[in-house]
Amino acid sequence: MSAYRINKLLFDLQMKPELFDEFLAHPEAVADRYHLTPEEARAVIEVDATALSRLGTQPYLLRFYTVRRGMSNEELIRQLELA
Amino acid sequence: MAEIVAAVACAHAPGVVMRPEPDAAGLKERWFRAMDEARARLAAARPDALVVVCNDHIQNFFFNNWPTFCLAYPEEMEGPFERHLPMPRYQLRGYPEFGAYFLEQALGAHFDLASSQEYEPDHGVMIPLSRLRPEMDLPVTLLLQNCVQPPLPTPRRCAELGRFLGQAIRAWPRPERFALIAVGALSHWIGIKRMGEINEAWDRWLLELICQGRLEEIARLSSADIEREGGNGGQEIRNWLTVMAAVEGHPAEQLAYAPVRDWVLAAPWRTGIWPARGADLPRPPPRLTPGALALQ
Repeated sequence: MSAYRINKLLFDLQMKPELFDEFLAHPEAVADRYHLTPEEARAVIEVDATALSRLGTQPYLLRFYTVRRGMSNEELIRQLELA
Repeated sequence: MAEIVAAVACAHAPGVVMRPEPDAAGLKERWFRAMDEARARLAAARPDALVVVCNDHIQNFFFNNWPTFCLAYPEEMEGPFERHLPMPRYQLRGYPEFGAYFLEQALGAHFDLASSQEYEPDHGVMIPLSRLRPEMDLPVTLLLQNCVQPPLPTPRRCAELGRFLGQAIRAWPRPERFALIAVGALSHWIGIKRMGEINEAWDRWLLELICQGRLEEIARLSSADIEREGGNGGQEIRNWLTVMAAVEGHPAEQLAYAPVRDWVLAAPWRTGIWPARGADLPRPPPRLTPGALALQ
């Protein structure tokens, strides 16, 4: 399965501060605009690095996203171990 | 007619500026001193222009249009891309005439490079430049190689391109002095299992090969070999290989190898509140990571 839609959303969240703010306020609506499946949307909204990794999310984009969402290195390493 | 007067390969870890505070073993200081030495040697070589062999970190480019090789040759650049890195924002001059020349030569030699006349260099370019040439006075051309989104160009191909880069510079009809800078690597894992690890044995093996000019043994590595031993981050050794090939035959000198776990873990964000505290790691003993290397 291609993670293109997830990667696209993460890339845009990285590039567009207004989109990031909108995503925090209305996560499902933004995820829907990017045509994420329910499973993909949940993984992004809940910052589930294990699920994102399993879904094939680009590792650099995943990393930048977790930093942006305030996840500690320890926690990310723990979640990636489970992927 | 032009010549390559210096070449340096070094790490570009955001941790260098995000986590500069000394570690107990003095490893970071070792790296900073080595970069000072590299800076001095670069200055002594009196370069007129720089070519930086580097990789985009999915910031300027996305997968709707993702180049394997891209020559970035804008009139000017400003960076780093990451607004909240604790470092100054710099203006850089480009060298569009050289870039256009190199692009034409490359296509003529059947290297089908993509190109860009607009680019915002990220930490990967700006951190090394800020240590190696803080004056930011020299015109800069960027040769970007895909090191982050598989499938990647083979190390073999990167070596071929590097060899061509050297030839093209030497055929540039102005009596100018070029310095090459390779950035990135060595072993690190980003956003995947084994994040935080460093493979010191592999790093030291690679550095040994580079110092001895044993280019072939690196060129024949596969992406899988590199991934297994050096992580997805280790794929950046292509940049070092390309510069090594451009100065083929020259031995190198290792100025430092400073394994620093802080530095493989720190990651920046482009905009917004600086999440430094949330992304920090409580301090384990230092382990291993990239050093600085001067090829002369």
